[in-house]
Amino acid sequence: MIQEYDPPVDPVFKTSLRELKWIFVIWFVHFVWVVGYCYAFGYQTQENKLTTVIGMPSWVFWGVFIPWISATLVSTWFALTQIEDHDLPDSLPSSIGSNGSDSDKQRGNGS
Amino acid sequence: MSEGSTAALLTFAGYTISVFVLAILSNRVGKGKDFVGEYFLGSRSFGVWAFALTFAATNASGGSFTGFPALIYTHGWTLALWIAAYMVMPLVSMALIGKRMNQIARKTNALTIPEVLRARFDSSAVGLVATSLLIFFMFFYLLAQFKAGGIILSTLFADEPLFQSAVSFVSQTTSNIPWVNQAEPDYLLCLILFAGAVIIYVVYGGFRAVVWTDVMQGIVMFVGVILMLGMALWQVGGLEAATRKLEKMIPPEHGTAILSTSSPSNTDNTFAKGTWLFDSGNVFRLGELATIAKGQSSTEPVKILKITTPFEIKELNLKRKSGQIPDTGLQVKVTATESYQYGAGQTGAYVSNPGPDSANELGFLAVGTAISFFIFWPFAATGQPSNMVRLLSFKDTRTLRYSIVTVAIYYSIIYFALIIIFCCARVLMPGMEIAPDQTMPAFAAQLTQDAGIPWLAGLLVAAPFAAVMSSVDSFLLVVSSAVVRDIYQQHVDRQAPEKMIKILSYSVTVIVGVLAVLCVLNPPQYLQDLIVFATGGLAACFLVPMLLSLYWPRMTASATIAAMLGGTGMHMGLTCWGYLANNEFRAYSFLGLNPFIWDLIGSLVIALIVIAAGPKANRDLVIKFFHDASASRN
Repeated sequence: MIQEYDPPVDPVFKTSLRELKWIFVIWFVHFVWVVGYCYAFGYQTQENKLTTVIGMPSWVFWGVFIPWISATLVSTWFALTQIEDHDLPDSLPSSIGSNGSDSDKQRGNGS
Repeated sequence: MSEGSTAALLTFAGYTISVFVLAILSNRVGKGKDFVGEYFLGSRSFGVWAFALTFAATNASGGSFTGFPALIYTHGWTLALWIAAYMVMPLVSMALIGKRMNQIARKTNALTIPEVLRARFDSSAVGLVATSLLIFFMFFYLLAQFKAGGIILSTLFADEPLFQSAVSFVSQTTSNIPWVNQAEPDYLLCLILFAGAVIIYVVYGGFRAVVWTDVMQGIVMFVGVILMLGMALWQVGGLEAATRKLEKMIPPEHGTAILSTSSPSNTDNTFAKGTWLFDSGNVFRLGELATIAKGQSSTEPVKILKITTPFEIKELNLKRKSGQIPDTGLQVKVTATESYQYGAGQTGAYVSNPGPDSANELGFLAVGTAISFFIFWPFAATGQPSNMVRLLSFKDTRTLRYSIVTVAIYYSIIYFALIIIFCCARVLMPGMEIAPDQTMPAFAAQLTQDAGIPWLAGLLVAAPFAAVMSSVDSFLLVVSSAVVRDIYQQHVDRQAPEKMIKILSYSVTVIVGVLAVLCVLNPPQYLQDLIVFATGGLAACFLVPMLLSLYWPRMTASATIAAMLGGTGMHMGLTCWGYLANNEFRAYSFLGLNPFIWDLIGSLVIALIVIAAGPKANRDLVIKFFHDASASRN
């Protein structure tokens, strides 16, 4: 159990965990949008008559194409503004070549 | 075709030379640096373009340019929904674990995925289990990609006279060599060419060469797809025209027929697979080689495809009359037909879900399957060790952030373009259901010929070749690094000198490559199923343990091993169930959901049980990986 006198939480861990939660939210929103819309409007029924938007079936346009643009924009926004930069630890010192990974070689977490 | 084929040969030659030049340059850049870090991880020095394109190209394996086009062609617009999760794949697969895993790998100087897990728990057992499972599943994947490389090359060179001479030579030379002589000589030659090229540049240039060639391959793929998109839309008359025609299309019928002539033949008369047959206004395409023996007037029953879409029948008949398609004059007596299980006789099936399917009465993409794939694509990609290992190689977090943007844009363009291209292919190129995996090279050849630039076919077909190559090189390196780094250096000789490691790394890369070639000389029948088995298995094995190891301080070594074995066990169990239930090498879709979802659930549940029942996490390791020890010292 982590106790009170433990060192502060690693900031890379802290921010990565926050980002992970938001990534799940972004994935889930698009999942609901795409599957929900396509289920409602993209599955064949007797009454369906094909309507198109810029040449693609309308269910593809509203249920895949637009969410795809949305996902790309959100990914861009998230990557450029919400993912925090950190100084990652140095690694690959010359001695690693022969000895493999080793906790003794730890150089600090650089946070 | 010979002009296009010669161009293809020249393209391949130019392409291979470029790859070797990059390997030589990589080797020079890597000189003077630590060997292992450079050979297996390029000294963690890659910037945005190199990192983004190697990630994108490795992910877009041969399947993206062979299997995916075949699926679009066969099932239509429903593939847009099938592949839709690629919209979030770059964000999920790179950002979910990228920064955190890179940090831990740097802290512990880990160069491979088993090393990261071993260092996280300071446990050799974790490393050994991870290495064993990784090698087991990766080898299956390597086999499949080697075979794809051989097949694409043989399609590319099929009509080239120089190639045919070389095939004859190979056939004569290998006719007395057991095992080898069972392989088709054209496939054997291409397999050796392909494998030789990949093994040489990987051994010579290491990870840096792999990344640099991935960058080139990523560019080739992008340019190829954009050119094809432009030509396809132009020739079909725009996307609206393509979709409207697709709406009117009716899935064809597979079947068998006896082909006959009016009088007995004087010689053996053979008709190639793909030959068009016209009889009484009906149009068929030959699904296999047919022969009318000397003195006979008919064939044995042979596979045929019956075209059922009225406008296709009309257009093909017009082409026959104008001489664009030769008329064999054969009479066709249909002996059996097999309609699609879903979509038979219907219009509109190609422009709506679930899409026509010849084998499944629920159609190609039932809602449950669509849900499964939206989970499968991004999370299975996150769990692939070949992707994870790339996340160890970026030089700083800024590189990661900008690479996510680059890959997101790259995938948006490539995959959506592929859907449009091969919907157009369905309209412009009828009858490819006889050999759907050849849709991409056949359509490239048709587009460039119709546009009067057959030499361009070489560049277009180089795209799938580049995709396969960029996957094979990465997997080759992951498997060899697992053997050298995780087995030899950890369990045989921890103090091995660099010279020894160097020789061993080269040798293992060559041996793994040669072994894979020997295994695919006579590839198992259901190779695509092997790819699915290996991809699903790797993700089932690594995703949950890696996520919990990176983000949950309570995760323990025993729970990690349990999660890896649990995911693998569930995957194997469902595969056995699928084999028993359906007599095919494919995991059982319990409750209609992708087996991958059950694999993840199995892995997670077992990990939680072991954590609840087992000892607490080692406090020193928790402090080391979840706390800022340097802050407490200050």
